[in-house]
Amino acid sequence: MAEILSVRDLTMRFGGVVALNRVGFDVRKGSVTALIGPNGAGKTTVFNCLTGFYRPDAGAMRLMGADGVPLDLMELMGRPFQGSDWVSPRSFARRLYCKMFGGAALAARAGVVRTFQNIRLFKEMTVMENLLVAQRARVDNRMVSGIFQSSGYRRAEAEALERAWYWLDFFRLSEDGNRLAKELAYGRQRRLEMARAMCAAPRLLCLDEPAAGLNPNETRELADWILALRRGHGVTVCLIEHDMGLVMEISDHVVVLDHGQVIASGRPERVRDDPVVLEAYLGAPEGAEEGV
Amino acid sequence: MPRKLWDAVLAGVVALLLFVPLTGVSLSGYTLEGHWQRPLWLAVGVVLGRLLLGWFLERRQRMVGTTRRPGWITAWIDDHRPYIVIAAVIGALLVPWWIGKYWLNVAILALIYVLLGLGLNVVVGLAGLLDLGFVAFYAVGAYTYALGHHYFALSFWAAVPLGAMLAAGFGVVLAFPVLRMHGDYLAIVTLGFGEIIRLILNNWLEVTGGPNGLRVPFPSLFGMDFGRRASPGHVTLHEFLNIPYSNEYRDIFLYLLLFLVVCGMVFLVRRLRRMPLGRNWEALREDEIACRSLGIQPVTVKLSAFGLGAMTAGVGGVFFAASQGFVNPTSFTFLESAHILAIVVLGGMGSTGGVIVAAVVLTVLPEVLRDFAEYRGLLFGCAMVLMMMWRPRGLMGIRRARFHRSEVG
Amino acid sequence: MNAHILLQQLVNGVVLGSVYGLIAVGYTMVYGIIGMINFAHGEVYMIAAYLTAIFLAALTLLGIQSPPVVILMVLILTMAVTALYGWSIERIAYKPLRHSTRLAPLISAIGMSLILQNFVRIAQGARNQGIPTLLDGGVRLMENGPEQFVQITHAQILIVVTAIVSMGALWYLIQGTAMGRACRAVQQDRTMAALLGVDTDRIISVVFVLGASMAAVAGTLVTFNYGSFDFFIGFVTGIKAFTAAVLGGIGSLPGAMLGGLVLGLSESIFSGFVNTDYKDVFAFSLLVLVLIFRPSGLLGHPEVEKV
Repeated sequence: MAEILSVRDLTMRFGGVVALNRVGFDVRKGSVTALIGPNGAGKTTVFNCLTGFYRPDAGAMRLMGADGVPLDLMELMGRPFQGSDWVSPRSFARRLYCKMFGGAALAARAGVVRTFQNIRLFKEMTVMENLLVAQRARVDNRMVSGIFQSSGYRRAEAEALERAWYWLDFFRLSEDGNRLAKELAYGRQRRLEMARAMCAAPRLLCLDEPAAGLNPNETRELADWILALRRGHGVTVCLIEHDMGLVMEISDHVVVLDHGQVIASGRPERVRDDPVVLEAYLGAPEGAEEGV
Repeated sequence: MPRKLWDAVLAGVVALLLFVPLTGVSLSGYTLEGHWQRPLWLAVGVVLGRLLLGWFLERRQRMVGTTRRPGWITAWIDDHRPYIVIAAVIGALLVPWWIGKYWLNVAILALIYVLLGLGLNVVVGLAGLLDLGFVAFYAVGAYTYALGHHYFALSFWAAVPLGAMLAAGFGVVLAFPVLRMHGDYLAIVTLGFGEIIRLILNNWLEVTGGPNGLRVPFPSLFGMDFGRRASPGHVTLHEFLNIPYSNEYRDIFLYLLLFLVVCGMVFLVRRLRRMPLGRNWEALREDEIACRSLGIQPVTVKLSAFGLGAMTAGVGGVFFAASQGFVNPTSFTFLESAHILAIVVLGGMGSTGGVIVAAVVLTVLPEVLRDFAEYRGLLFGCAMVLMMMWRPRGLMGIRRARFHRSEVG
Repeated sequence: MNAHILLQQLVNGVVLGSVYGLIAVGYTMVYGIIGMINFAHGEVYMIAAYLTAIFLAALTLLGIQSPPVVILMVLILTMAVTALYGWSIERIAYKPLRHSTRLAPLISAIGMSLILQNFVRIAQGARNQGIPTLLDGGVRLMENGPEQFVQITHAQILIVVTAIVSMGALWYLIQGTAMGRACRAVQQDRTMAALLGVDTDRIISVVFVLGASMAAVAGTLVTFNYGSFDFFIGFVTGIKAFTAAVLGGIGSLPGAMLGGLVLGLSESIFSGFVNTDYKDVFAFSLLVLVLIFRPSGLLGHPEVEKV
């Protein structure tokens, strides 16, 4: 299987603090990859870089495009102008465009869609509206055809609605379609956020602590959904998670971060038994002594 | 209970300290005049207000957790919505024929404010962008017509689209650099811009005529004039239709034309709110970061809302100039922006019906209450503060589009 | 270019800049701590101007004549009452809305500004007001002819000296006292500071009070210098002082002072050599240009977005 995402030497500093130090990992197409590590290890920073919210100071992030052509994510984040950008008007225009509008929106359009640790919904809008907003690319966005309800527009809108209903059914939210997002219970809000991300047609779905705040039953369901997404919809999933049970159960590949560096990566069971990982989680001395 | 009383007394003491120097005495030349009863009354008012507020907050505290049931008024309006709309349209069409010239002018002004309110509502209520210089775009529209006529003999019918485009252009150029930043910056930049436009109109004597303003002609209809006597090469309307002359016809005509424009705007906003663009506006207001994570570019979406608002103001400005027959910079002060913002805030930030009602009430009120003009700014200010405390999301709550699964499948 | 005019405009610019700096401090501190523009801040300055005239007249009626005593007493009284206005603004327009929508505090603050403006207009009348000259005369430098000199009036000296002293006092309050430390902690991370036992509500009030007192100093000094004012002066001065705060880097105290000076100097030079009518337009264009090209200002740090 080919890699859908490859990250190399990702480095990011905030003032004097090095948040990420030459982080590198690969995500294979159709896999579930988990990013784990103690608090403050830099997991969410990696996500913020991948999804275009932060511009890394150095490194490379390549996403395999739908057409098989690799796409430079760094390019989309609006890196500073370089000598070569000034050469042709076309590359200059492209650079200017990325600089003006770049970052998260372009990353999302390239297929990297995420959820958030602290759920971010459009609270005063209904569940269906939340899902329709996410289908930006699918619905005819031209004003005129919308105002006069051209047949093309109506068809596109109907398709968008259908897709929204599909994902509502998938995450068992169908009876909530016309309720305001803020009225949903916490667990349902998490599901709505995932449904909304799926409506944006991701090729790489980044879930930031999807199980946080869920009870064991809900976590169980979540595991099934993620596996179903991977199996039935060909979505590649990248997730940050603290629930080790969930990570061990669903992931194909685990990357362990600590202090902004990758300290281990590999199959879940190998990573679990890695003494370096235990040390990072449990604090060095005890873990090491017990191992000896 | 004693604690609440204590709070109220404390508020009263603070109020006395605040009000005694500023209202207890007034400057008269280099010396003072005493008005000792004024601060006392104000302080008494503050004490009572504080008590009421305490009671109100307690009640709200008790209501936390229970979902608010819509009041019977809201329920009644919801049930009878189509009838209300039809009655309003018929009423609005009948009104100009009966009320006489003075009230006809008030009605035209009210319609202009409805239009402005609807435009600002898109910007503030839907897209969540605070525009404090809305009047600047209104001025751009009005002066497009005035200057266009003065220098290029521009007609009303050409001024409407031109004014709309120019105002939208100004809005986009101004907002583009600022929209990428923290939301508050937009507020202060528009606030400054509103003042700058007024300053330029006031100071650029050679072009704008400064405080003396410019005369603006009345629009014609298919080349026909509304005057008693036709200008050379034109026909007057009453001669053409063979009816007796009345100076009300032109105002009625303007009123009906404006009514058409307002209806168009209501239709447009209604459609947009159910379209991807309108949904994106609201989504941006709710959570910009989530929008970006879904591939929505905040700048373009915000620009479209801001530009549409400015465009509406531009159209309103052209109509204003035409209805007054004269423009000068005093019509475009900050108080005017505050008036429009008060309409949107009282109308409930996003609710079309609310904005229409608020605009009509706030325009007719000063005509009924003599002292209103004196206290206009004060009342607008109080309305904004109180509304934000009481119902920051509006009085009626916004009706949301409902979706049902299509049977076809 | 005439050297005398240039120098005179530089002197005027420094004076104007100190005033802008004093008001900008209020914007920058409030923005630093709650991340919002205090739209009513310009009106606080306007109220200070009125209070100055009122207290001056009251002291004259009481028979206090000696200029230094009068100036000091007026300054202290004005600062006290204006500070109370700052505190009340926060209590009414900001505190009840701390957990409301993003737009709510902005709208209520602009409402507050309308209330203050119109309240003063109704209570004191819409006409222009004035005070008698307290400080006259000045120092003439480089005098070599009837029109050839650079004048620094005593009032101008008073403005610059008082501005420096009050900025110094503020700097000590923020950097050298326990309360100032709490302020800085709240600015860094409000939730964390609250967890560590800082009373954040009190600190936010303190910041409004400090900002208002600085605006009061500015209002008093300007009134002593120019002698005339009306209920509308807070509006444009407020926008300009905000420009100064952005220019210096919003959230940064030294930035506010520097931004004030830069704005004051450039505005003076513009009105001296280009056009007086459009000096407000110039200041505003500067604001837009800064926002486009260097939104973090001269001394500010680029904002890192919290996702």
